[in-house]
Amino acid sequence: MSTSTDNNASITQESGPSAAVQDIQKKIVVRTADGEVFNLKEEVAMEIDIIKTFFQEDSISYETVMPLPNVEGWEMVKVIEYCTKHVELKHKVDGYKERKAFQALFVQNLSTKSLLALTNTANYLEVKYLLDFLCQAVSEQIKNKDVDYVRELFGVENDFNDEEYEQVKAEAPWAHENLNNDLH
Amino acid sequence: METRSAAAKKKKLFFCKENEHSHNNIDRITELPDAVLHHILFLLPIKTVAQTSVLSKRWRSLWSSFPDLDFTTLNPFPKPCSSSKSHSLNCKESDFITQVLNNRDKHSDIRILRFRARLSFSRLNGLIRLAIRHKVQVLDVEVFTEDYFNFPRCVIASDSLRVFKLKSRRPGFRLPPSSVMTSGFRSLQSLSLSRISLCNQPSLSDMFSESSFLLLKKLSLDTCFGLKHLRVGCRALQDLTLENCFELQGLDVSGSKLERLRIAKCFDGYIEKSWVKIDAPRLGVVLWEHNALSDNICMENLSYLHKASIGMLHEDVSVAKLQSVSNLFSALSLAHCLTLESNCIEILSNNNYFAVYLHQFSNLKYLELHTGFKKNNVPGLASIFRSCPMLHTLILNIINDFKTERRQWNKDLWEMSNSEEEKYWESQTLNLKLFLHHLKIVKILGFLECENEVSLAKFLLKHGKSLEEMILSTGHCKARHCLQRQKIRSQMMGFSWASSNAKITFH
Repeated sequence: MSTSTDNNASITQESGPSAAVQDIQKKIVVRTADGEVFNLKEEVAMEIDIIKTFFQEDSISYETVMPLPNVEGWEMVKVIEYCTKHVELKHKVDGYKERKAFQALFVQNLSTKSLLALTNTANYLEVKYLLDFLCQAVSEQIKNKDVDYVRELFGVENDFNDEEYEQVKAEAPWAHENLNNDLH
Repeated sequence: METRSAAAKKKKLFFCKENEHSHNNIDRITELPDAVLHHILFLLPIKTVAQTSVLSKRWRSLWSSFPDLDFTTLNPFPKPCSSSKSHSLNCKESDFITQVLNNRDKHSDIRILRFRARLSFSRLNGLIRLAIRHKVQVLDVEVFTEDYFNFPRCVIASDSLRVFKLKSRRPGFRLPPSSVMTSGFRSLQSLSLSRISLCNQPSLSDMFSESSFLLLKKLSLDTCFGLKHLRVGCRALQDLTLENCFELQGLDVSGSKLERLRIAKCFDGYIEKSWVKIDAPRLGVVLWEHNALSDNICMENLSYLHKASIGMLHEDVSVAKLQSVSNLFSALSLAHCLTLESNCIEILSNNNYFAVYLHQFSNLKYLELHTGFKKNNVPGLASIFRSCPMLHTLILNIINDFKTERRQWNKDLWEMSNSEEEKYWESQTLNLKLFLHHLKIVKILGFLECENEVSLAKFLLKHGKSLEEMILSTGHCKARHCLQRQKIRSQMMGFSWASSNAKITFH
């Protein structure tokens, strides 16, 4: 959490300027791909494993601005929003309803494209609980939908030729049966 | 934690800006790595996952490397043999699970395989062998076979298998001898077997001994025909369930790590000299449900016991078996939560002299009683209450059936109310002093304003100094005579209450 200088005054010898640096740094600064700079509270920043590792591994000073070239500004905003709420709810005893309401709102206006981008970012930044939640949200979108819908939704290009396509389909005929008769 | 070099590499990448504009508009999902896509697919039924295999080559490989194959989410279940079109495929190959397993990426392991199927033993064995070859960790199988079959021995040698569940429908399967069963299962942590024919080995004394199944934490044996004696002593065992073993005569359970024990519908009620011996000091939960009583129950007082539930099979207990009942209650006397099924109340009610010696449940905070609440149950209930001086919550679940005759509370005799039940309860006031002092919450389900429960409610309200809440609910029963109920309710609200904080709720 703090820099390498020892806080225990009784042991260390205070030596001028370096002692001043030793004061507790509570903000971590990151820069996203579009050049936007974010000041994160330490406790929120530490929820993001990739940031945590970056600073703790080599005891890097918090003065360093950590670059995040794979993350867009808007994504960072959303991640900070989620992690801040998570930290807040950690200390609450019965936060279930509040968490559910927050989660519903969080994904409410996100397009599928944005949802997928955010999922990718959560994976890259290594925030497990956010990744779990976003994967759940993505799965909800394709549950009980047929393949054509899924293809359209995700924009996956078909790189099979007709013969190959039929072959793959025949590998699991049970999966493609009764698609129109599904009652669920 | 990453190594220094890995971390350094990562930092280098930070300074190279990735080209994100390659898949401009549409395909954002391709950017997601395989592990994340699998993460999303884990949340979907297997049919959906298999469907995605036609999306593209990448998705096909995602399917063929998908580790969790839970075919039980398929509804309806596909028939084992395909239609007349596929005359070139024999029955075995057209079995779709085998097909899926055969189409898999050879190097990708299966984590979970779960299915329910009607098939022959040779097909079952083939499937299991295939799964083992793919290093399956969780194998959960329910089968319908034509005839008895032998336990698939290929699972024994598996090093990857952590959880194995084999459930058979009629008729069942046979187990290999102990020497074979204990020769492998090196990584097994959970074993669940259902519908075993043990007629050729009625005594399983060395299959689950201290030196076998060294990693086994959970064991469940259900419907073991012919099982007469069982000894379980696996060192790492934490959870043991034994059910539907009607011919059991002797049970010996020991385990220093055992925390949960459930024995349901076991023991042969017609046999003389059946016995139970439990040596598991760390037991936290004991569920003894609908077992025929043994002649000899030996169980040490369980000091870590948190929750216990007792249900007897018969109401009529011979004097000889009363000692067993007493031992059972005594062993469970340190429980914090206790549930007693209806036959227990009957037994305690019919044997007054025994009821006097009922062990004190000194830690008991939560008590749930299921009873028909007949007239003769009242002294039995009183003696139970007397044994629970520290009780916090009492739940009385009244079983209202047509067999039990229960007198309606006579609202007209209210002022002069001095029914037998009331007199009896009043006579117990001194005996129940501690119980009344600590009782805080009372809930009566199946409350139909009959004399018994109204007398009890009145008594508790009158003397319960710490009472906070009394909930009187009809439960599942249909309310009758609405108007009369209203009158009785308002009368009840007019009782004298010992606790000024108390609150009654009617449902």
